[in-house]
Amino acid sequence: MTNTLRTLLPLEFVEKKVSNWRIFRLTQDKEAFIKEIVADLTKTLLKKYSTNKSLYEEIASTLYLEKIRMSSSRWKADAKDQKDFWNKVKSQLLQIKSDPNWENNAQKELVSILRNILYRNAYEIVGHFNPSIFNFTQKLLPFLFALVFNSKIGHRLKKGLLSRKKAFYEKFRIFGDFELIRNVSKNGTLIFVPTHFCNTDSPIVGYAINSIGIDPVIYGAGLNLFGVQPLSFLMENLGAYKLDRRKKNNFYLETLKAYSRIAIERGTHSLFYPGGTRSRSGALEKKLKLGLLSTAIEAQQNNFEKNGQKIFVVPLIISYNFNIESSSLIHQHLTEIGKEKYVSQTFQYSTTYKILRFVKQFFSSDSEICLSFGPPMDVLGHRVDSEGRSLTPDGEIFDIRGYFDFEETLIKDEQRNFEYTKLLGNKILDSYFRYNIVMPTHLVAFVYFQLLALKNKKLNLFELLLLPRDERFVDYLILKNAVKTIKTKLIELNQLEKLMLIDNIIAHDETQIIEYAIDNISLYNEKKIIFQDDKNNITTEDISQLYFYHNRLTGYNLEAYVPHN
Amino acid sequence: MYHITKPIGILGVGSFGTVLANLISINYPVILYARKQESLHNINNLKVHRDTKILDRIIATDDLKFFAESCDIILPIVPSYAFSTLIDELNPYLEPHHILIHGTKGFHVSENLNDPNLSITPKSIMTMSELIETKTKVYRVGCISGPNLSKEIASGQPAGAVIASKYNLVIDLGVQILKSHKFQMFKSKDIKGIELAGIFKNYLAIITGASSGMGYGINVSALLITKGVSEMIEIGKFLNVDSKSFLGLAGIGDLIATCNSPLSRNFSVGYRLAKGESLDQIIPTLNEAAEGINTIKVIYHLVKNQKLSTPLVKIMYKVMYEGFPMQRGLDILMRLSSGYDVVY
Repeated sequence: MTNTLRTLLPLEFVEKKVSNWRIFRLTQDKEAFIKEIVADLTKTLLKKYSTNKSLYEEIASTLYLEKIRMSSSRWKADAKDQKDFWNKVKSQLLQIKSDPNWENNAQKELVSILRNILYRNAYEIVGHFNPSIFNFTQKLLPFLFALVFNSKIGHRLKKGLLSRKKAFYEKFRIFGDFELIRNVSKNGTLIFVPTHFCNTDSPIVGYAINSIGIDPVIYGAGLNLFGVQPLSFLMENLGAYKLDRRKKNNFYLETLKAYSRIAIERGTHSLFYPGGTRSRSGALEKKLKLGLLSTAIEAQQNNFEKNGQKIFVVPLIISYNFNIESSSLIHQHLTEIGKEKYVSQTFQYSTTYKILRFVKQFFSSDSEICLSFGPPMDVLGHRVDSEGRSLTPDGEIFDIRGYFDFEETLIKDEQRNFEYTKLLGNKILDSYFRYNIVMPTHLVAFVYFQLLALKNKKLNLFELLLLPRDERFVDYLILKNAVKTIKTKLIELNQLEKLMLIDNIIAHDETQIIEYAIDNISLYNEKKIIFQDDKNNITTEDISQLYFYHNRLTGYNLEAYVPHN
Repeated sequence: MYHITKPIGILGVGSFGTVLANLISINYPVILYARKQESLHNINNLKVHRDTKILDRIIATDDLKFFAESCDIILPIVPSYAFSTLIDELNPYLEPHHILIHGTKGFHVSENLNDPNLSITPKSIMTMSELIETKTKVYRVGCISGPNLSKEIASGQPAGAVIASKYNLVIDLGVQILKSHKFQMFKSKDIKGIELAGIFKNYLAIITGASSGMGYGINVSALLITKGVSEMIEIGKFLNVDSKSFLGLAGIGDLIATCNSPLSRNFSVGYRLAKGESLDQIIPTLNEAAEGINTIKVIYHLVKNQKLSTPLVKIMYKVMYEGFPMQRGLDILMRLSSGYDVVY
């Protein structure tokens, strides 16, 4: 496994002065930032909707979509005056139409409505950063664990600051070439692109980024999360901007993209989940949403025009031995792909109580969270050196500016940028697989599920999920043998630099790995996902969750190596 | 319209490279890269190359560095067997700003084609655009294809071609440099489909050439071409390529041209095979490569273990490489079972 440096964490911030933090500067400059978004977007949109008629129609369509949204779903975090605002837009549109010659005369009024909508969108989205609250939470987090939990680690956490931190980072393990990430951060803007499996990913990722000494990043969080205190208060003050996934109107989506792009152009480190949403299947992302990712390319194009500042994309892979949301995620996944073929069994929702119970169990167990930073890349997915210069696969230094030029002139080209986004997306996916940290639960769940599938070759996935309890078992020795085989294969892949392995897979034998997986996989769950029955066979109370953990190892072509009985 | 100030580079001075240089020089100055001193002399001094008059605004050079530094748009027009080596030579001078538009209708194969245990999978073949993307820093790649028998274009007849790329910029530039009163240009975003169409039609041209050599007429030729299109679509599907491009200028258009014309090298290879010459006798006499000879081998080994309906390539491979009698091969093709006509 590559250098972990975990005993040294947290590293000092690369930029020590908070007033120089980019997120802080963005907050300080909030008004100008919003004005820039609105001005930039108005210009683009007026090009797209160049006639009064087309602009009118788009505004009317936005109004229509917003009315449907307001009547079909209400959230705590919704603005109180939203109805009034849209009613006003409606009356303004009626007013415009009252002039028979509006298609020629109404430009000023329509542009004014457009601006108002964009202002409103931008204000609703915009995040805030409060350094005192940031400092407070930084200190609070490890301390909280110490106070709240009377556990193995809690005991050590109470001892003293140094020991507390050390103990904390033994559970919260971060891997990657931190020095490289820190160095390139001095020469440009970072965009972290993590995998996404759980709603708790954002604070965890944020904490990891700060632990390696990178100042806080801005990130989008679902507006629904802003309805819950104290989460809402913390997010409001720690740079989260709000994404409302119910709003599908073009103006809103464009504002969101412009927000992300202009923040990046202003040098603000950012984070977004290129998978778009949590992986429902438990597998590593295999396809990315290119919309938000394309803002990285657009921003780089515009930076080349303005100041040449480079943008770096840093993949980040999160591995848990268990996932508190596995039950509901896999349920959603199976419903989506199986439709009527999937017979739902009861599943549990996460509640605050359950999350607290998870944290307690997590810190009192041997389990750990692993965060693996892939090497930073330029916006076309090339590796970079410590000064942020792009490298060919052979290590030759080169300048990517030419990709945006024709005959030394910068060409702004949305279609080209979209193709480049696809290239970048593929490189991110490669990185996810390459720097994925395989943990015991992934290995054992993979092998167990594959053995079950082999035992029931004639059944399709959905029939397999309905296997009665007494047919779900696999002989312990067969499982042990298969775990050994796949472990050997994983070690091979690790040596070929195709994936990473957590040390307790390498150091332990099959018996210990299986034991560890059984102890950890069901930590949070009411159902036992893998356990040994009274005849010592391996069995499960929930095949769909087993399938969820199994999926984490799909995509490496390991299936063919699971030994047939 | 883009403002193009630099000359257009053409890599390769075969017959098609030469006619392209003439076509482009109507719009922009051209630099040809040639290795042989004789070709340089022909182009720069005699102004005649491959029996074709070289127009003004065309010069030739053997200095790759000068060539790459002078031209931002480069058209590699070389046979597939030489493509990889030439790209390796050019590679040190290629930068992200370069745009490459190739006109090569063959595969790059990572396996040794003379290996007696040859086995080819989709992973072991690459089209030329894929080869460029893999080997160089250049992303903006295009391909030009279509019914372009060089001799006809050289004699001043009008023609048309399709330019394909993932990038609108490349397509637009391709049109801008090539389009003229004598040359129509059509656009495509499906570069792989266009490349495969151009590759597949070469082996079909060998088969129709053979049928012509055996004395069969247009009926048989039409039968073979049409069933050839079905076969192209079948193999295209296997390689995950949308078949629409096969129905356009680079597919059917080029098939009609090459499968009926003695001017086509691939057609004449089939014709001569049917007249009793062997491949070993034919190959040394060809002035330029007939891509179909290798393509048949590559595709045969690609599909041999697949459940695909590809009788043409299977029979022709056996005729060309396993000594199966030509007449019997064509007899079999004329007695294929009466399945449905259009199944795609």
